[in-house]
Amino acid sequence: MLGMVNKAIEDLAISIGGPPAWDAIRAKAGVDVVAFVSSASYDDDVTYRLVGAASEVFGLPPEAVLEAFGKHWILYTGREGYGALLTATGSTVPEFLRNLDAMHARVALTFPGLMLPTFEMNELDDRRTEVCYRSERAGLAPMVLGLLKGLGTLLDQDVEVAHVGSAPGEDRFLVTLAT
Amino acid sequence: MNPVAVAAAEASSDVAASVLDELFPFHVVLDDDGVIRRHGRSAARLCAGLREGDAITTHLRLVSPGGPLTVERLRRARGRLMVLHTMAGVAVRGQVLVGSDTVTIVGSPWFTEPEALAGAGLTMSDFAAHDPTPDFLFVVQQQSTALADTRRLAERLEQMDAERRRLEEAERALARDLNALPDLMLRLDAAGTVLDYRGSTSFSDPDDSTEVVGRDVFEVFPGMQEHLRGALIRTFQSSTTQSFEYVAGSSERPEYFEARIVRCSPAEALLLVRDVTDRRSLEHQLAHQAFHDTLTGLPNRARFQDRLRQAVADASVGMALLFVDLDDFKQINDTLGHAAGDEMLMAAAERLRGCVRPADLVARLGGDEFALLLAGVDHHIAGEVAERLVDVLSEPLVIDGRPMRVGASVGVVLAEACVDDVNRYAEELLRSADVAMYWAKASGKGRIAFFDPAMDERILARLQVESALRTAIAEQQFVVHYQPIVGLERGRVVGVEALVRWDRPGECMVPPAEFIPLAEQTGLIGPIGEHVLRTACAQVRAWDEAFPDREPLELSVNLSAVQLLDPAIVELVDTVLAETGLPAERLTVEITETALISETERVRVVVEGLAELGVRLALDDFGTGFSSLSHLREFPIDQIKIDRLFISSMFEEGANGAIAAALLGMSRVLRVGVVAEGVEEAEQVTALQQLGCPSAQGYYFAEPMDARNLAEILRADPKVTMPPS
Repeated sequence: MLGMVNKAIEDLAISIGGPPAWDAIRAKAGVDVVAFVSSASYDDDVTYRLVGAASEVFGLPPEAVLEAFGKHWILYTGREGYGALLTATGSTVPEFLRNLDAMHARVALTFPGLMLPTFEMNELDDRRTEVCYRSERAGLAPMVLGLLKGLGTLLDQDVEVAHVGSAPGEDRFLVTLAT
Repeated sequence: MNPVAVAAAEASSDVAASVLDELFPFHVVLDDDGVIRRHGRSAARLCAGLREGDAITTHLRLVSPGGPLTVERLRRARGRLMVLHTMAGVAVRGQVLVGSDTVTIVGSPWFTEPEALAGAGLTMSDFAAHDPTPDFLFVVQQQSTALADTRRLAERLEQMDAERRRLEEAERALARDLNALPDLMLRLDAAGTVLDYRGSTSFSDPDDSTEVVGRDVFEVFPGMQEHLRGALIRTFQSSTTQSFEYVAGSSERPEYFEARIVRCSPAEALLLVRDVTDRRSLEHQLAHQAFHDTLTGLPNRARFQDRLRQAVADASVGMALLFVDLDDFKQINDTLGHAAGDEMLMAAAERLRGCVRPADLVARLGGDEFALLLAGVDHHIAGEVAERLVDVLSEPLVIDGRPMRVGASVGVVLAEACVDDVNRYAEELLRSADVAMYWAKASGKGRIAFFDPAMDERILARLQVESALRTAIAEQQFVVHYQPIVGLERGRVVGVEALVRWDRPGECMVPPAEFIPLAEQTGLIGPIGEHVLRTACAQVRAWDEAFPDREPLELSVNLSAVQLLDPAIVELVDTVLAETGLPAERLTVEITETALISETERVRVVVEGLAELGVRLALDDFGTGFSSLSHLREFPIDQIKIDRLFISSMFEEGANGAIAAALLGMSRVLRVGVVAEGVEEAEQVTALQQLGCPSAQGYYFAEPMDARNLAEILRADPKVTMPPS
């Protein structure tokens, strides 16, 4: 997993509970990293352990933690490091979603060997888009839910996001623009 | 720009608008007049107000190639990279597609900063899938994020470092506080009665085990009574804290204490006592180490100089300074190892101490140098002490299980009244004693010498030569010359003797007699000898290669007495032979009888080691020294070299005239080879031939010469002209 994902967990933890919360999560997860480097690749296990530890420290279910940090990433961590490119991915939610897969494809070109998810869009009508998320990593659907919800906030559009189905390696979300 | 896309678009001037839109979101189709006939969505976004029918020059200008934006120029720019700018200054990298009646500019906006993309109102949708601009921006963004990460990491490390320093400081402060805590705290009244106490009283009177409370503190601590009584009175009188130190215990194992008395009420005071024995012992130890030599326990140079200055300042007259240097210590150290060397230094120190009065100062200045400062002595007594030192140090020592002898050279200087700068005079005295010692050593070791101002100049001259020798080694000024050795039976060159010369810049070639003795005394003979051996062996091998048809030459190399004392020479010879490929039996090592006389056992080890390698041994200048037949029997000698003295006097009446013949006869009996040296006249050659001498060298045949000249002789390989017999 790219360091930027772990950094989001750190940022979220500090924004909620300050540095002591982050120290507690790190200690509980057994992660002895001084600072995550955004573009460095870390073992997936680090991310899973951090999520598990954050869940314990904050007394939230892991799904809630994942969703919260998905939202946090797109609104704060990703915006801080990659804000201009995020904005350029689309100025509206539908446009952003249309370019999302291409954006990941370009990331894959920059980081060959990185295991990246794919996104397939099905625009059901002017307001509704079905997003099919495929990843070899299990259990990250709540994070995608948070990312999609945060996207609406980022682009200042009211959206409703629902996790509408899942199959092995695949999760589907329905993104609905408010009228 | 994707070449396939460009080719596809250019294949037809009638490219479908939808295809162009797909391939190049930024495109503008122009007619021959430069009027816009069609455009892509990205072009419309970047060029505000762009409409069909507008002149292209109202929306874009050409940056590269430079010049006005005309259709004609666009047609000529076909196939080249073009850079255009919108009126808002956004760069567009593009290319021209030329059709039959249209010219199409295709391209993509170019940004070097991700933020500029949003500033221009563009999104990824404005770029074709094949367009690398977003990828480039991604890399740029990546780099920027990495830098931010690095800064963050550096800040965090700085914070951690600051935290670590803070903790260390806190740790030190805690240690200081803990150290400041007293080992014993007693509450006393103004009369000194102990009201209460905390801590251990074990260091009070060790024989007194009764209760402390209620007793007079002066009884409890009899050792501090002297300081304590006055301090207690002053504390109550002035309300100021009184501090003092006192020493208890025996003189062998003193115990040090620090005590403070603090008045805590009008009627009471606290006595705080700390045991600082460990700290004081360490301080004493450090002070001792700073002024003493750790190996011998003698005062060191700093201490000696200090005492010398003091003595000079007090009364310099009647004082003698003796500078002692052990002879050949370096060789012993190198041969037997540093542990044996240290043992020897300790033994020498002990002997020196035993030679003087307790009030006299004996110091080790460093290495194998010692100095003694004798007070109240005259020239005669100083000389006697110096002689005694030489005698005592020359007595055998058992080092590493072996009996060894270490001599010493002693320089003596007597102080005169100091009328000048004390420090300078003290330094001068030490230097003068050193010069005198140097003189004693140069005069033959195991001697003493009193300082004489004239020594200075001579020593200086000698030091200059020594310095020049070191330079000569570093700059490879030593060259090897070769003197042919001729076989008298056939008149051919059968070997060469390697002879070192000093090619001193700006001077004539310096002969060995002028620098070898000093090189031996200074130990520089080692590197010089190695250079000669290596050069000569390599040279003879080179001649082997150059003249394969001639009989291989024998090589003779001289080894000095000093070299023969160093067992490492055997390994050196072995190494050089291996490196150069010269067979051992073609190398003859020439040694003098004198070298065999001194240190017989040590020399024997070297000589036998060389013989084991297969190297031949020759006795040089035979007949001038001891000419002891026992040497020929005791040592594995293969050859004798008859000294030139007996060759030049061959025809004289008397003993000298007969010696050459006698030596030749003896060599036949003992079956050792012979080379006659210093042959200068035809008659001598004839006589030597008649006496059956196998080989000879000398100016009659050839003087020593450099390798190039000798190579000429070997190339011609002449039969040396022999006198008619």
